[in-house]
Amino acid sequence: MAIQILIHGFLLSGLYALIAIGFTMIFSVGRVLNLAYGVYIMLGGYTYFMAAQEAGLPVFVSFILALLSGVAFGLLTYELLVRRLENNPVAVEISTLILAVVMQAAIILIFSPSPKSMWPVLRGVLRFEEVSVTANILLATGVSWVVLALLMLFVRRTHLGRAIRAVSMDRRGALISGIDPRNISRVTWGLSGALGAIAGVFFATITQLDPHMWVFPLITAVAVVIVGGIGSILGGLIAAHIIGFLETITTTLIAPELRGVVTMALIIVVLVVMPKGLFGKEEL
Amino acid sequence: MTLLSITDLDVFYGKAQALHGVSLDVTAGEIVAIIGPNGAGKSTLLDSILGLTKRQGSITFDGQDITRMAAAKIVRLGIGYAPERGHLFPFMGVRENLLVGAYRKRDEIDANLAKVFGLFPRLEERQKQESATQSGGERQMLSLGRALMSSPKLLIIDEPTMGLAPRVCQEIAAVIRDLNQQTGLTVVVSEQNVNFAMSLAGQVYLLETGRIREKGTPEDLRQKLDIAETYFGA
Repeated sequence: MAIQILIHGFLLSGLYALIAIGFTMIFSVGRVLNLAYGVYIMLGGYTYFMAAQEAGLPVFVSFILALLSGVAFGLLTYELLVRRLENNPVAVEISTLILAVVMQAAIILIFSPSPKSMWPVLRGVLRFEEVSVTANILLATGVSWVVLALLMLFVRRTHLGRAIRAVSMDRRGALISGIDPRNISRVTWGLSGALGAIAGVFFATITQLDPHMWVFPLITAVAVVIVGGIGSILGGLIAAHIIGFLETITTTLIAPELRGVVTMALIIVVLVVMPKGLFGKEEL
Repeated sequence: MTLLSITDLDVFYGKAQALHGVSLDVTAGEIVAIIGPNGAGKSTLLDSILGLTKRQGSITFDGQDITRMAAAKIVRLGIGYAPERGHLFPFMGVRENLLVGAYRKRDEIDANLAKVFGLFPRLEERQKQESATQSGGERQMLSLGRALMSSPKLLIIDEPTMGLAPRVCQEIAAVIRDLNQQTGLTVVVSEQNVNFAMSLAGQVYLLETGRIREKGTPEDLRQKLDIAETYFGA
């Protein structure tokens, strides 16, 4: 049992980190909560479903299409809503939440309200002693770690990545270094959409596709930001593991229905006890 | 040759007017100081050159009208800015802060890094130190260094001596003088420290409650006003 929790907790946490990172980036750069973030995850899942399962396209192509749907929707959210509501985080938060609900209705209209089950991206089951693990979740975790590592290299080693961090730390300092914060916002929203969509493909294969599936990842992402503190990719990574393990422990030992509940409780506890999060420093 | 020319500049913060019809000319290769008491509008004036305020009037730089231009573009034209309190990136190391300054000038990074480290050896010794943990003097050096990383024609410095020990002030003054004399860099510097400004500049503007009250060479200004009395309380 313990070894099962350890393995599953570790695997789930990698995916949660990926789910959260796109949301954290927006928060760091723009200081707004993008409550439509769960939609990128849902969109990634449905696009992959359409491409791979309905149209029969190859896995890799379907994956790219899902990613592009996330980029497109991320950019649209920024251009149509966020850019126009700049300097008003509350308006951004309300309108992105409404956007999420509208998208949920759109998905119901197009795909019907009933859940669809997704084929795993990778088939097969691996056994380690008494613990069995699907190849699909192994792949999900592997891809998550690779994407996170690439992202870390990108923000630390490239001019564009450094510019993103610069805007997140001191917007005016970035401006007078010749960085256009709006361009950086565009890049960040596009990237956030891509990250959400990639996470969404795996999240959908592990759970299921349904029009409400945007809620749980959003709560997870909010929890990671709150527990991890503003920004910090590393803080987010640690927070994702705290949440991933807490969930695995409660769903394995108590009841599967508790998925998400413990996470929400944790949000409230951290907000009350340490409002700056465990690693609160305003960095990406 | 006039490098920077400001004509009848009005600046507003909401409905409050911070600058009233300010005009100022900077000749290429000179050091211009803007002095005046706290709240006179020195920072507002410098921010306006970089396109960071709500403004009316006209600002031209190097033959181009930059009055309506965005900050990022103005920097690209060749203005480097070391603002009040630095606006450094607190969780980046010294070297990374400098690299961000080179965002628009990537082909000259190595030469510019060498130049900045030549001017401020202390920055070279602590390239990985996060700027959040630097001393005030080091932060001022880093702020100047970051501005120099874009190979500017005009360097604008807001209150470089604020909160610094006299010895560090002298060090900063020496660097500004060197940059001006050896590389011909044009400098606009705002200061509350009148002695510091007078010792550096060829032209001095006195700003009071958002208006230019006097301008001239340091000698002119010393004669026109009893600045010592007004600003040193002597």
